[in-house]
Amino acid sequence: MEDVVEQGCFVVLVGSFNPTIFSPYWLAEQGIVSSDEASEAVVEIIHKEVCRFSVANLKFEVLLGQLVIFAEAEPFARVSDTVALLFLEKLPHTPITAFTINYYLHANIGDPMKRVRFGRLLAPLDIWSETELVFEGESVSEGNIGGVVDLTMQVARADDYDGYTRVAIQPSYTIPDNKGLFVQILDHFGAAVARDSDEVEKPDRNAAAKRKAIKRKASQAIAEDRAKIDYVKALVAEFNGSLERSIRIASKIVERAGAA
Amino acid sequence: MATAPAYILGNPRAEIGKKDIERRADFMSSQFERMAHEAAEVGKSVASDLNPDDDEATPYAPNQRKDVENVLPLAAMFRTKQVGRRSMNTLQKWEGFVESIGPDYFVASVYDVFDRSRSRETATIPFAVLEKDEQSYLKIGAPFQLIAGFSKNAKGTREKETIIYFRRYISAAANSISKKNDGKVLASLLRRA
Repeated sequence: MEDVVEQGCFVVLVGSFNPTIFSPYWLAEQGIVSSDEASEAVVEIIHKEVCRFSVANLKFEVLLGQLVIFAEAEPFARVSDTVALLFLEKLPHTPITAFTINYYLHANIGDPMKRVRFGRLLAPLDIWSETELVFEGESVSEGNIGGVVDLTMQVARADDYDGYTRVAIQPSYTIPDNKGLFVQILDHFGAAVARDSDEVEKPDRNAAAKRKAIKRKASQAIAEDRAKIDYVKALVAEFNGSLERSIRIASKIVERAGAA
Repeated sequence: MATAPAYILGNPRAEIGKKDIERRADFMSSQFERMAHEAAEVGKSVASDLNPDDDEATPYAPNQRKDVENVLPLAAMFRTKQVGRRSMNTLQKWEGFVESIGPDYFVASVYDVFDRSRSRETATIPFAVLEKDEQSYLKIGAPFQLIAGFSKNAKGTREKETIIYFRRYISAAANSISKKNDGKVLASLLRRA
């Protein structure tokens, strides 16, 4: 039976940040973590270009252009709450231009051969038989079997946001004896795309200049939309739904691997 | 390596004569020599690591060498490193809000996050389940998550664990809504949470 050994969640915000202001004690001063939690924090570095510390079971990594908040255990909701408190209440003018909500798990599927069979399902060997690579005749017990070491699928978002969902499947190196499966789901949220084409003038098929003008208008509309989006509010609104969907996807993959 | 005479490492009551003083001076001198030699070896090793002509010795990417100026191994800072006290396999998760507070328990209305088709249930939760930091957020109307699962601590031991987490961001909003007794808004807030 498959067993989730480890799971975690992290959000990545893309924007413009000042790493020097982030510290466990600053978070405590702002009421985002308690003073007890701040006193137990582990600080790795606080520098003008990079800041990295862990507090209250959250790990912060702040660079000039990116902020990552990572939780390797429940409650994952604290990640979203922390983002909201930070950027809706304490630092509301921080420019944020995109974000991703990420979830991963390491699952023990119990049998190395199940993992091999699942890998063969994901990447059948037919096409490889035309190459010089030989996979048949290898054995798990001798540790020389070949197959998928990394497979990433990407699909465009079905909602109003620009962006994509990526699912990565790899062998897990934290689970011994070739029984582990690692699944990571990255849910990227970019700008909302202007879907209403009514306002866009219909192009004259024979007028290249008009087409160019319309393209330019559409690009401008997208750029304006991009500037208008409040990514923090979007993250807070979408966090739980995204996480639940990612958990469902990962669970289904693990379940399928367990049945392989 | 030179062996330390007994009077340096051990017996403080031993008599220290002229010969002893000379031997002590010799010993100290040999110790200084050894330390100087070790320092020189370390210096060579560091110089080798930072030599921009030696690709194998340096841990930095070629375009980083001038920036770091032999100060910090910046590349090492960006390697993934997991920190935290525990990992957890979530078995069940509920969301809810506090309806009433008793002497050593609180009563909450909760629903199953993994199966939203199930109807809302009422749960009586003892204070003992609350961690210290969570107790200060316990108020009527406060939204929270109740998470049950197996956690793995830093030593790798697995144990059953129940976590109660009061939502930090919407707790204030939920509180004010509960005072107004606006169940519909609170319910929609909880759905979002």
